[in-house]
Amino acid sequence: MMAGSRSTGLRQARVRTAWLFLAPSLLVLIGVALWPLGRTFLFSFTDALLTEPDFYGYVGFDNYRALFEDPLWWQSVRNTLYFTVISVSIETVLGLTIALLLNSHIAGRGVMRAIILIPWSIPVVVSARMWQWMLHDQFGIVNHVLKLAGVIDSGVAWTANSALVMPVIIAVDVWITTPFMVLLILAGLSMLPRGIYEAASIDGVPTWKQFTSLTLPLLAPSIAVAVLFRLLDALRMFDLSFVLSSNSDDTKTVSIYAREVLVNFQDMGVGSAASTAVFLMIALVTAIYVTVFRLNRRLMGV
Amino acid sequence: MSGIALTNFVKRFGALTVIDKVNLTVGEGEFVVFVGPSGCGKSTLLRMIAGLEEISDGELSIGGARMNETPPARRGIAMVFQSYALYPHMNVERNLGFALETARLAAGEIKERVAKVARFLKIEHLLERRPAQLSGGQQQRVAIGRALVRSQKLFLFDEPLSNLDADLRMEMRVEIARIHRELKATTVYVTHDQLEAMTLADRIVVLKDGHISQVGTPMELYERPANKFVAGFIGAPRMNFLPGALIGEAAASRLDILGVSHRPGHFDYEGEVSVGIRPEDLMLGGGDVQLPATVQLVEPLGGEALVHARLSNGQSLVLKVQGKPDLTPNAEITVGWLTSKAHIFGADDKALSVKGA
Repeated sequence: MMAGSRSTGLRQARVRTAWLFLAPSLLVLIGVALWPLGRTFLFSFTDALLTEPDFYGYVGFDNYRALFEDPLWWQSVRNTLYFTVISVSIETVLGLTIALLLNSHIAGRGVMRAIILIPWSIPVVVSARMWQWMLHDQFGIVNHVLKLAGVIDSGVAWTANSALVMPVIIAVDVWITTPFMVLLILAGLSMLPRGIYEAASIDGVPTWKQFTSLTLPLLAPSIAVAVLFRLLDALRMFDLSFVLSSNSDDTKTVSIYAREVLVNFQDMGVGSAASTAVFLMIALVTAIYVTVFRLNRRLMGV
Repeated sequence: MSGIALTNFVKRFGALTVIDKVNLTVGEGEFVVFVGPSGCGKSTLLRMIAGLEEISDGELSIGGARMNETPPARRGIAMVFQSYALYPHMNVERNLGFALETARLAAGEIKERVAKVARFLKIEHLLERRPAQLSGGQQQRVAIGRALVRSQKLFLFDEPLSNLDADLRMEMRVEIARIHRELKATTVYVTHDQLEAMTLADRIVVLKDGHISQVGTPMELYERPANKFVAGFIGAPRMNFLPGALIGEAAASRLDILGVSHRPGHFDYEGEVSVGIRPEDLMLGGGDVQLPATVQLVEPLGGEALVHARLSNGQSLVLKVQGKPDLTPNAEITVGWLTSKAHIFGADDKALSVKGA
C-alpha cells in the first residue's frame, strides 16, 4: 500500500517535470503558430482592412463566397497544383537517380556530394534573380549560348512568354530542390543492409530485379518522407514565381494570390479567407498523402 | 560434380596480400571447415569461392570447370551469411521463395519446395512472419532454408553461428551436421570457433595470415599438429608450452626442461625448443617427466576440474583432471606427463619428430 502510493507520487512528479520541460516550446508554438492561425481564421469572417485592422464587423461566409467566385483564385489553385505535381515528380525521379549514382562506388563521389548541395544552399530569391538574369531575353547567357549553337535566331523571352513561364519556373525549382531530394534519399540508401545484395547476387537475382524488389520497397519510406517535405514546400511556393514573373496570372500561386489581396487590395477579410483556404488545402493534401501511404504500407506489409 | 579445387589462390587489396598462394581441393560431399583467428583470410577465401570477391591470381574450379569469371549466380552455390542477410520487407515464405520466383518457377512448385524446406527445418509455423519478428535462431533457420530451397550441390557458410548464444549455437551445430548428413552436399564452412570446426568437419583447414597452416581431419590436427600455431589453436583449454632445450647425445637426444632432463628419443635437432602438452595430458603426479609446481586456482567444472598451477620459473600452466581434486591454492604439487603425449616444436615453430619413428 505504501509502495503503491509512493510510486504514484513518483509518477506524478515525472509527469510534472515533463510538462515543465515541454512548457517553453508549447508557449512558443502557441505564440508563433496557433495564435496567428487563429487570428487569420477569425479575420476571414470579417470585413477588416489592412490599414485599420482594429475596426471590423462580422460578415459570415461572405469572404469565402467572394473568394470562390473569383476565377483568378481557381486559376491560382490550378497553377499551384500543376506546379506541385510536375516539379515534385521530376525532382523525385531525378533525385532518386542521382542518389543511386552517388551511392555507387565511383571516384570523387565525396566531392560530388558537396558540390550537388550548392544550388539548395543558395537563398531562393538569390537563385531566382540569378536565373532571371541568365534567362534575360537580350543579355541572358541562355539565349546567348542557344544563339551561338544556332538553335534560335533571336532571343526568347523566357519569363514573359505565357506558354514558357511555367515550364521555366518548374525547371528552376528542379534545379534548386533536387539536391534536397538527393540528400534525403541518399540518407535512406545508406541505411539499407549491404548483405542482402550479396545474398541476392548468389540467388541469381538480376540487378534490375534487385532494384525493383529490394531497393525500391526498402527505400519507399525515405522517398515518401522526402516527397512529403517537397509537397508541403511546393504547395505554398511564393518566392520563385514572385521574382521570376511577379504579375503573370499564368504562374500565380495561391500564396501569391493571398498576398495580393491582402497587401495590394488591403482586403484583410478576403486575404485571410484565402490564407485559411491555402492552409486547409495543404492540410487536406497532407492528410490524403499520409493516409494513402499508410494504407499502402499495410498492403505491402512493410 | 561439386568438388572444388583452388590452385595458387591469391587475393590482393592494393599492395596488401591477404591470401597468398593457397592450394586446396575439397572432395565431393566433403565438409571442410576453414578456421583461424580474425584477419587470417578465411572469410575472404570463402567469398572468393562464392564470387563475391575477385580472384587476384590463381584458379578456382568447381566440378572440374574454371569459375574465376563466372558470376556468383552461375557457380551452383548457396550461401549462408553471418548477418543472415534476410530480405527485411518480405515474410519468411517470400524470403525462401524469392530466388525461385526470380528463376520463374511455377507458383505451385515454389510453394511446394518452400513448404518442404520449412518442414525440414521446422519453421512451418513462421512462414507468415517477417524477419524482424523472429528470434536469432529462427532467422538462422530461415537463412539456411533460403540456401537449401535452391537445391544446389555446394554450400558455403560464413560464420553462421557467431551471432547466437551458446545454447542455440549447439542446437544449430547439430542441425547443420544433420543437414549435411542427409543432403551430402559439398560444404565449406568458415568459423573462428575451433569447437565448431572439430565437431562438424571432415577436414579442417587452419589458416594464418593468408596461408594454410595445416590441413587434416580433426583428430590429425589434435594429435599431430604440424606447428605451434595449430597446436595452440586446436583444443580447449589451450595447449601448455614450456621452454626447453634439445641436446644431441649419441643416438639419443636429451631434453632439458627447467633443469629436469629426460630422453624422449632421438631428434635430428639441437637447440631451443618449445614443449607442448595439452591440459588433459598433464597429470597430478606420475608420468615420464615430473616438475614441481604450486597451485594457483582450482576451477571445478562438475565432472572434471581445471587446475591452474605455477612452475618454478613463474610460468603458469593448466591441468585438466577428472573429478574434483582436493587441492587448495598454494598447495605444492608434482605435474607430470608421458613423453609420448608431448609435442616438441623447433625454433621455427615446426613440429619435430623422433628420428626413425
